[in-house]
Amino acid sequence: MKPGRIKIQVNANVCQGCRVCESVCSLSHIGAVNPNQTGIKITETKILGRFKQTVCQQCIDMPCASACPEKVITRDRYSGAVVIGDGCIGCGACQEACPIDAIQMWNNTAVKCDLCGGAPKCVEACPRQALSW
Amino acid sequence: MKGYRDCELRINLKEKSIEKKTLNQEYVEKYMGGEGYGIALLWDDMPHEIDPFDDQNLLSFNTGPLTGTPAPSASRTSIVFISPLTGTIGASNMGSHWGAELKFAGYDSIVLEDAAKEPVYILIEEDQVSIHDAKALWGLDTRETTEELKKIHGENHKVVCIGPSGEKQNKLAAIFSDDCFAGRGGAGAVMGQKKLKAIVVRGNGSVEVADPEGFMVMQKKAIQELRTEEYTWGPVHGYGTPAWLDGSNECGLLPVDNFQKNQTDQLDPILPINLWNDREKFDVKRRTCYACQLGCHKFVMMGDVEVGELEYETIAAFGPRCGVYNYKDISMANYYASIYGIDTISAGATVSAAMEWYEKGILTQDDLDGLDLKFGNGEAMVELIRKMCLREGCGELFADGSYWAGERIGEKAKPYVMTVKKMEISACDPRGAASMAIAFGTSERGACHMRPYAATIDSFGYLFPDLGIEEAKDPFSETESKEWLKALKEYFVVTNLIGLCDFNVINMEIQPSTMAELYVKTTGIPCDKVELLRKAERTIALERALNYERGFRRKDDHLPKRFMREPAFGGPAKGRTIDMDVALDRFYEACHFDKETAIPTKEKYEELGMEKVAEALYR
Repeated sequence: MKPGRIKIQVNANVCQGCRVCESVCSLSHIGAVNPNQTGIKITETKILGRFKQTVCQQCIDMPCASACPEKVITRDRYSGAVVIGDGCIGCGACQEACPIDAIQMWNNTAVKCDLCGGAPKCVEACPRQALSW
Repeated sequence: MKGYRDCELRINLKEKSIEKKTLNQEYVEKYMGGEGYGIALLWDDMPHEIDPFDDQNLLSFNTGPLTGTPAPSASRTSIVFISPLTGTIGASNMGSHWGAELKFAGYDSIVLEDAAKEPVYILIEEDQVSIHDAKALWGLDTRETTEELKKIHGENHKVVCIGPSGEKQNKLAAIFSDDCFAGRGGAGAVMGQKKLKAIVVRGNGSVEVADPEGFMVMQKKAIQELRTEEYTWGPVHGYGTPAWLDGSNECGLLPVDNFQKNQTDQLDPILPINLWNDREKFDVKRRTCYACQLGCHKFVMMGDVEVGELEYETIAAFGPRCGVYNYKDISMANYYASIYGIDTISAGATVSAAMEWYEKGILTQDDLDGLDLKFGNGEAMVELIRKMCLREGCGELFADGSYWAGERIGEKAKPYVMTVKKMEISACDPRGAASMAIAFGTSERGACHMRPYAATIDSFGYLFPDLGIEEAKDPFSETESKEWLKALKEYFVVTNLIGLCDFNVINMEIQPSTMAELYVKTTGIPCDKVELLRKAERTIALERALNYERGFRRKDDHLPKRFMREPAFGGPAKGRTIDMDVALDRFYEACHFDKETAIPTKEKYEELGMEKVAEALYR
């Protein structure tokens, strides 16, 4: 795994776990708020007040794309994001291939961060500037 | 009808029956959801005159249409019941992630009927709803219960529960969810009476939004409105609600020594600016409610002690109100209140009343298990709080709050009980802001600082043009028109209906028209700010009707006599007393209430489309 440069950067020290990033992500992608259909995931850790932020690193070597049997995962030339194109069959190979678990499977489709095509909504909504890009 | 999940979950705890119904469309249309939905259920489905500890008391957890969306702090759940503390309607509101999770699980409301015989807890995993034995959990404190349930069912499950105070049916008991409390009115005691220890929820479903693109635009606008309000996005964003301590003290709004004074010069050691930045004293962690922009919650660690969220109201209640200016004692009092699950405002107020009784010789050390309960004795305060929570020794006398303690002690004690409708007045001296005198007095659930927090307008000098408040108001005038207060109260109630946090509007941040648009974009139901306020007006009218049926009248809207007789000690309000009769008259006129019965007139009910309610009241 070689993490990319253009990606959602996270400052874990200031995240307060409100999950508005998850919420706007799913709303802007699927038109509804669903905690499982988000490209970014915030989970509680054992340490109080510390949260784990899981979001795609837009890897240079793209292990998810290599694993995809349908070859629908490609790099968007405009935004630089690794995106899942049309034709996902929901096999889950990309999810398994992702070393940081940044791909979720929901309703037989893979869901991941696509940088909102170039202006990530989660960054705008984050109240503590825990996210940037 | 997007936004809502259109499902009401009805659980009969005695028969262990579980029923799923679609939402009552009439309620949604008239009262929107949240608190309004719960109140409508009380009105229709419960005998109006029952005892709060009767099995028939209907306890409901109601989310609003916006709960679970990314609108600012769309996390709220309104818990509605008949309050054991006040005897009025009980409507208590909490944040955390539980409400959003309930929406994801597919429900807007949970309605609990009857009472279980043995301790139980409810598990909701999407459409799988089950009732489990909770004997092993009974007796555990709030944090232990949460931890235990998460261990059994999964880390991502969200939990609301009660602590030992709720189990013992203390009338001050609160409902707990991740250190957020539905504190006021004794919701925890009702849960304890029903032998319901906890409700565990996990959801994977979607909250649908009618116009996602339009919603995102309005959400951005709302966020912008929040972020451009200097005080909100400055001190409150940084320090949380304790940021208000300073301003409140300056304006002479801070209760000191059980309202004997309204200002103090000893505040420095407990100001957040001196505590939050001192690593030696505190380690401050952040863990906010769902989708919250503001992040007022500051979880405080004091060495190894997980103190919990130290809020303005908590610091004011355990601090200046009891004459205590030691951060350690305030923190420990909050710690016990959190783990045993009790309302910190009422708990602090009860101790401060006890302190005055002690200093006036009405109580002696013998009555207090040897505690030297002078104003300022922090250690004695902490010990009494602990005893109150567990009904231990002399704690039994105070466990149900200062009103009931006063009743038990006798006539001499009553002048020092600072309550309205038996609920303790929170940390705002009504002599410092005429609007707050009315707000406390006329609040339907007993002295509540959020119906509305009007000192922002008349004492702090904010304006709110979108709500029709275009000129500064006089904080010391009972005689001026209170139309503006009516509008502000309705707007605060709107937040309880829609599922947003009051801190979105406390400093006039989110504008009513933005709020209305958020509702429209979420639900697809046409609405403007006038209709939005009207839904709140209906809710208030229904609450008044229910209180009326339960015997509450104009006399119950009065404040304790201290505020009429004893002039304010300091600040801009120095020397002032309150003329409550005039203030009530002005407010009732603005609201079209009958001046004797304190309920809306028949015409007003009819104008609001509540003919059936009017018929029941004006037989």
